[in-house]
Amino acid sequence: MTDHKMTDLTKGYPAKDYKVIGKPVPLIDSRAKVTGQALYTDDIRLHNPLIIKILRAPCPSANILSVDISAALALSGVKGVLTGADFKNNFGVLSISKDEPAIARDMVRYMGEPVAAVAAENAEIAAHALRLIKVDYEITEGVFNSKEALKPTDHPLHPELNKKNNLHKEILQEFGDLDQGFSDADVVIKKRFRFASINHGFTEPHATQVQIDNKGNITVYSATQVPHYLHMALAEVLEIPEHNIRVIKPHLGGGFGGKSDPFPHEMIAAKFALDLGRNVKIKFDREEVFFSHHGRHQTDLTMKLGYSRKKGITAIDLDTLIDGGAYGSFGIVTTYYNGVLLQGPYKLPNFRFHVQRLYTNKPMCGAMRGHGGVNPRFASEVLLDMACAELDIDPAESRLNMIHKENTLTTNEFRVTSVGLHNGLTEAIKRTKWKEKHGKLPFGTGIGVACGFFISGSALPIHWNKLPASTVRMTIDYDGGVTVYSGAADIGQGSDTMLAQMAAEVLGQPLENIKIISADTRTTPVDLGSYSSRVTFMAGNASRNAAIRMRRILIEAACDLLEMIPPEYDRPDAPDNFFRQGGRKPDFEQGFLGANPDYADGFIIEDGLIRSEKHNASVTYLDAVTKALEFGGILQTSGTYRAPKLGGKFKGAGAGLSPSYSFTAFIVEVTVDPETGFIKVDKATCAHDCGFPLNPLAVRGQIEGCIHMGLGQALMEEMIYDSGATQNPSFLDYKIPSAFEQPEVDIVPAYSDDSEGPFGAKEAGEGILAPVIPAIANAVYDAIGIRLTQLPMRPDRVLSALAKEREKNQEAGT
Amino acid sequence: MKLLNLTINGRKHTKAVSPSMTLLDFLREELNLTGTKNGCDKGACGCCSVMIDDKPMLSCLLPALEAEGAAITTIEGIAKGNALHPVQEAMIEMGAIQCGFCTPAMVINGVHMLAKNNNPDDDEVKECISATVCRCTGYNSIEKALHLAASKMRRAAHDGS
Amino acid sequence: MTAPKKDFDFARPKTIEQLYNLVQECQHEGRQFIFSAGGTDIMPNLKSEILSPDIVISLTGLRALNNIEKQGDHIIIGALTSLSELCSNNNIQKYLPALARAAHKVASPQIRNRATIGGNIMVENRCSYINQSPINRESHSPCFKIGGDVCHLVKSAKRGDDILCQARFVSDTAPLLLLQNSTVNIIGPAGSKEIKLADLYLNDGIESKSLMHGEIITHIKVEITENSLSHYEKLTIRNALDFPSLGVAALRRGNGDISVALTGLNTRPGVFHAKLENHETSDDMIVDICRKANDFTVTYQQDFFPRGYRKNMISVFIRRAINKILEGAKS
Ligand SMILES: Cc1cc2nc3c(=O)[nH]c(=O)nc-3n(C[C@H](O)[C@H](O)[C@H](O)COP(=O)(O)OP(=O)(O)OC[C@H]3O[C@@H](n4cnc5c(N)ncnc54)[C@H](O)[C@@H]3O)c2cc1C
Ligand code: SF4
Ligand code: FES
Ligand code: FES
Repeated sequence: MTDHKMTDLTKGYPAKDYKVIGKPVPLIDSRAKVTGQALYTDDIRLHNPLIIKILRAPCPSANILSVDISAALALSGVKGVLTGADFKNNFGVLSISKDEPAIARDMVRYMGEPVAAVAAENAEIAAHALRLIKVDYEITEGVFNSKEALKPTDHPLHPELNKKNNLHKEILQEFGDLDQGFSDADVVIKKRFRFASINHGFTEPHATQVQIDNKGNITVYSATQVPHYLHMALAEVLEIPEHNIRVIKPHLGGGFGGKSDPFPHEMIAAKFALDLGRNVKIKFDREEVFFSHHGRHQTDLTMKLGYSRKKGITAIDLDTLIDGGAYGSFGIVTTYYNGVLLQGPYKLPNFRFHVQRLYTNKPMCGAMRGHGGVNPRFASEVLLDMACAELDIDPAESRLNMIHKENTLTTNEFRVTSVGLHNGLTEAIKRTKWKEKHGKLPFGTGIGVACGFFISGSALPIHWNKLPASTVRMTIDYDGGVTVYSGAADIGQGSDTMLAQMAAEVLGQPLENIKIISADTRTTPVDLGSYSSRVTFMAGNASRNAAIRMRRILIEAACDLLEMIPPEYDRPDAPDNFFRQGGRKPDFEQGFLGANPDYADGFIIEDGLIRSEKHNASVTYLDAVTKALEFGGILQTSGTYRAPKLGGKFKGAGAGLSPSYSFTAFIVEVTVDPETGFIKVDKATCAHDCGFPLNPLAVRGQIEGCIHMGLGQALMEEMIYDSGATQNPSFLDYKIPSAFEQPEVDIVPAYSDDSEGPFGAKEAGEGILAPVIPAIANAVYDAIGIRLTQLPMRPDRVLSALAKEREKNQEAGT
Repeated sequence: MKLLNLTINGRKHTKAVSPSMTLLDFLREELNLTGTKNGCDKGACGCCSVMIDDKPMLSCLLPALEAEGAAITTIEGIAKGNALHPVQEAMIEMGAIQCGFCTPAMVINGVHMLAKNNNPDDDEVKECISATVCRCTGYNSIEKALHLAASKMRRAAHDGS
Repeated sequence: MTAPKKDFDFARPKTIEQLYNLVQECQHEGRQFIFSAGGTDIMPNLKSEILSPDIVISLTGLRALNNIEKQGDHIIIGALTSLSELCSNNNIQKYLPALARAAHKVASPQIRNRATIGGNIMVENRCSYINQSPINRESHSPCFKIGGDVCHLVKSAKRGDDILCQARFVSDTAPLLLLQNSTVNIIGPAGSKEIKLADLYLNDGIESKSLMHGEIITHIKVEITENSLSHYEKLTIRNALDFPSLGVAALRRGNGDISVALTGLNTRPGVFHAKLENHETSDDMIVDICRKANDFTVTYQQDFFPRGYRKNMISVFIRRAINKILEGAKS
């Protein structure tokens, strides 16, 4: 029987008498979900909606000569047909690459691209109507891989860019002295690595419903991670004022980055609703999800790494081609992240990266869990392992010695604040009996290590402005109930629960007293969305700050009732960064840790009472609320988060800047069958430094989920294309690992307390993923002595590598 | 259109349906029982699992008319009023629910397994959920939840006897 | 929302008589019909428009065909027995444990609760081109299997070839049933008959079964081989859901002879024998069978695993299956 006990992830932390924070709390919407009551987008029932279906291009590259919709329009029950001509403005999540039309206009750029859409009284009619649309395609020669896309051409995918090739973005950055770095090294290794594109595989297919009122206002219910960006894109594409649009994200069945762009079907649905004055509904088939993709970029990279016994890694030189597919999506950010995220978790004094993102005639790639950092991380962690093997150094020890110290600047001027990796990895080494195993296990079994590093939210918004990155509104009603309004999108990761925890802790309320209203652009203040692991850090801080303000109001009201002089809060109206350290400014230089509000005012809210410790007097919480309400009739505060000024002064310095970074170490144990090439991951031990774990249960869930996804990318997942045509757009053919493949997981605490994170917390959703994969590869090397440089590490690749290795050894032997 | 008679969560229904409508669409679109999810519509994600005459099956692979005369239990029929089934309780307790899209199917399959055998080993638990995709949890917490539910049920059975 | 693209009618006759009245009616009216048992194979094919009948005739109303019985030295399995019933049936576990194992390896628990043994031995051959979304198929010209004039897998194939279509045979249960000298009972408009299971399978991916349109399988009669041992091994990347990239059933008779049957590689299952008297050691027998299997098999790239890998795995899996049996024989 499995052991149900869980490691206490808060072990090692200074005792804190939090009531809600740091406790394992099931997500607050669990009950709705476990009974089937939670409504996801497609579960909502609008009055008499039209059903939308999209006609998708059956070819990856073509000119559209004509689209004849007359027969479809004439079909009884069809209410409208849209084509590319109906949309003037393109869109894109990044303001610097708005290159995607809602419906292809003159050109098809990937197979499965929308070329027309139908709205009809029911699904059968809509499907029938699609068959009646005649599209005249002139098939053109497509570009299907990055290398080809680099070649000059007179017919690029995006003629509007006025370029003579298909290069979307190129970045070359160099820090330190690369030559010096390599000459300092005891060993220099260079290798080429290849990575298949992979899909998010979220379980809920894309869906959108639009409700229209009789004044032309639309409410867009959509399965999106970014209601705010969707809101902006809709206004731009539809050319209507933003206030006519309300975007609501219902329960969301997984995102992982795959729902973090505005999508064509969202534009199409909204346009139909506006044009036809009817509610509308669209839901994707699974194959449409795969055709739309937006997954992790297919990558072809060459990395050179220098390593010195004394200094650790001395230099990395990275040259990468990433295959972006047809449109921009988050691609420019991906391009940067491929390079800059190598700045941790170790010191990296000399560093160059050259990344090129190409347009090809394939479904676009974009953000996916571990955005941009996953593939280069695989390369650097495998090369590091090779260097250690060559110099006969323990790869785990070696890593321990190179980890960033707390409160340092990286070579490209990232500000690293808290680092809990050292103690975490040390503990993992102990717990796994690494020293007794590594290099000592019998042939076929192995153990490997790898580490990772990730941002806790991008410090810069993707549309530059001076507004806070996240704002939370908080109210308390006559009945004492607290409501938190946040634009943050709970995508299953549990952000609503986290926001509630913040409020509950500061206001001394049980979690049940906190209600969350989130991700509704009409009622909730702006949050930029659930991407780049920003929500806990940013929305979390905003919620906490709103609660601190609220608490002050309640304490003052209590004092009024108790006829006491209220505490003198230093600056009650100070901007939110004032609250960061319970009154003290975060002082990175001085290495100040412990971002917890000190309740130095001498009051405690608990059990429905507000108590003055000093005077041993109390009033009920409800009386204080009533008193506070006397003044304005409503009780409301706001809290914000904005990242401090960070980063260097060079071009591109903003990429990868984050107020804080998470760190992860994995030790993975595998069994490899040398006859079949099957790799079985037996156990994964994870030390993830997410600062103070606000909700150990949620952190554990994120870790186990990342292991699952990493395992998939490592061993079996891959988007298969044949001349641009997606070959495996189904859950049968796209191989997502089952429960049988998931290893046993052990989680060891990795203590840190972030000076700026809410209650010391950092991200726990994405950074965990990247090191899973190289840890497996390094364990495979330990097991059978081969280095795999291509993902997925399919059994046939294992066997080929083994055969080559044998050949080599034989040659060496003769 | 053809007439369909069946019992769902203890309630009898008679409804005219299109012969090519799947049971999944019937539940979701005709009866508004949206707890059963459509993740792939082709038998490969498990999200549409419902119990038909006490056995979990995929409602997306079944013409609704195939369920003529059958007794069906969907996720909406698992809890007894406010009292959750031990599997549901354990799923919550173990943090086995993230986005929740797979959850109804996990519950259906878990409830069935434990009804047959309240002392499953690790492999039986894995087997039970092996064909239901969960992209969020990595399955570990779901397995733990099913083991926990099993022990709750064993205890209840022991106390009851 | 994705009901099968073409609407179909549905009927569930309760008796064989009703069934054949309906079949005759359809033939008379020129309505295309297909049979459905568990429907787990045909439903995805209906949805992706590989099949587009006017009516689906369900066999699940024929309750009499859902039973397992031991009759002398045979086990009679009703064609409508679900795979999960098969797995848990006492007689099967006792006399045909490898069949239970093979059935257990099909698809998923939920599917096995529905899927039938008749449907499994009749499961449609698969090909990476045809078992695709309609958009994908639209991007190529239609292939032979859907009435077109090319094969996208074997570009050189042309009408008039012996084998037109290479869509591969994927049933997990057929190999073992073949080794057990099974026969199938068939009824059709013209009456009933019994044929060898081996004769059910033809060489071509399109006409892959010898049943006449309108005939149904009522029972499978499986020989209980005294003192025999058998085993089934399946190659898939995941331990759930996947069709066999390669499946090997092995049987050792009381007299020491060994037979092996393969699935997942070719348009039809392959069966190979090695007689004890012709070989010095059991290893020789294995080598002999592997050689035969390798000769027979033409595997095309139409699977998660590359063709070469699957080819290499044939011997590995045959050896594993036989060794498993030999271990069992020792103990
Ligand atoms: C996700 C998924 C995974 C799968 N994995 C596997 C796998 O690993 N291995 C495997 O073998 N299969 C697999 N299948 C296919 C299928 O589920 C099984 O083969 C199943 O056993 C088919 O049985 P059924 O009763 O559902 O067949 P049906 O779909 O009802 O019928 C299949 C075919 O057999 C014919 N037929 C059925 N019964 C009779 C009868 N009594 N007489 C004459 N003809 C009949 C039908 O007309 C039809 O042509 C999978 C399917 C899915 C959706
Ligand atoms: S093998 Fe058969 S199904 Fe596949 S492409 Fe050729 S003809 Fe079509
Ligand atoms: S929706 Fe039925 S299995 Fe995926
Ligand atoms: S909880 Fe999201 S798919 Fe399982």
